[in-house]
Amino acid sequence: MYNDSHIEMTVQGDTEKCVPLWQRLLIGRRPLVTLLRAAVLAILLVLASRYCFLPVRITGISMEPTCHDKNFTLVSRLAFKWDVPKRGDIVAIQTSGTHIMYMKRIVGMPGESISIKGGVVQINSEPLDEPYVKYRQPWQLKEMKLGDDEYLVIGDNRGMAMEQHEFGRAYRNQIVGKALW
Amino acid sequence: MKILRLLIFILILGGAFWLGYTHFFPNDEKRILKMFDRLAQSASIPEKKSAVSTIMSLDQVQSCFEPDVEIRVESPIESLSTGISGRDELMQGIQAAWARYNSIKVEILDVTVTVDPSKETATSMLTAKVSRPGEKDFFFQEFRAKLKKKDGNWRIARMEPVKVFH
Repeated sequence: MYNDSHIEMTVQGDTEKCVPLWQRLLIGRRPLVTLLRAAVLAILLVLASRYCFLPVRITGISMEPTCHDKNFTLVSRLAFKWDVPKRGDIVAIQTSGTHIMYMKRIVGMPGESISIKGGVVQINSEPLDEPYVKYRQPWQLKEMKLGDDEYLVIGDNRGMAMEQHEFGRAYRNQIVGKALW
Repeated sequence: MKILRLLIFILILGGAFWLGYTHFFPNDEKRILKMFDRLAQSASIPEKKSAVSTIMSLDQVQSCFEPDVEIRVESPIESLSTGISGRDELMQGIQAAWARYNSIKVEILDVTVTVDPSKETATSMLTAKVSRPGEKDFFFQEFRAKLKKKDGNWRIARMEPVKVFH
């Protein structure tokens, strides 16, 4: 009786020790638990990237020097769930979906009259202070009045020729979220 | 317990039947999505493409468009607006692009489909992305596509660019 239980304990101990290191590192001591953890993690990641944060790779120089070409950032989809977009926010504007988006800064708010004179944005005929704009070309844009649901979005790189810089009015429902950095 | 097992079995069977049915008899929306997938695949050219596969791809691309298709493309950089009228002109343009570039990757992203009540026409919003393998820069354009159904096949009748900013 004593011998049997001794043998059983020894075998059990040996089995645990026998799990190779690579297996422990790769799938853990209990593969089922590891699988379950991986599944939960995968579901959380999918949910987070779908409803909370969108990973974005920036292409282009229209947001220089704030956002650099080929850098990565995260767009928070929750930022405007309980809050409204504000002037100065860097936002992602969707195309037909979110695979390709524009990243711009909100310059004009709904209902405002906007124009650009000599590269300086004018809000209701008052010049807008934009410390984030480091390079400036003498852009000219005729005055326009934004609708109740419209925002004027422009990139920070005003050193580009105006014709090469895509900007303009975007509806609220085109704004996907706010860039986190 | 037996009833529970029977219920689970019926649910699994029903799910499998539904999956099979939707796979073999897709609705109009799925047919259009598949057509766009086929178009993106056949319009892309890998680095080494044989003459036979090129002809097959051209045939595939051609089958996605109406003979009198109208396509408009806007280039934001050059402020140019290019128009293509008819499938023949489109095919010539595609062949010219294939001849010019060794390889092109075409992706059709974020497709939304609205089938008209007549079930004979539909409207699609999509973003086309064209890139060259190995390069991070790409060209993209959002389009509104009008589609027509003929003999059970959906074909593109008109494509016009959509401006994100207005």
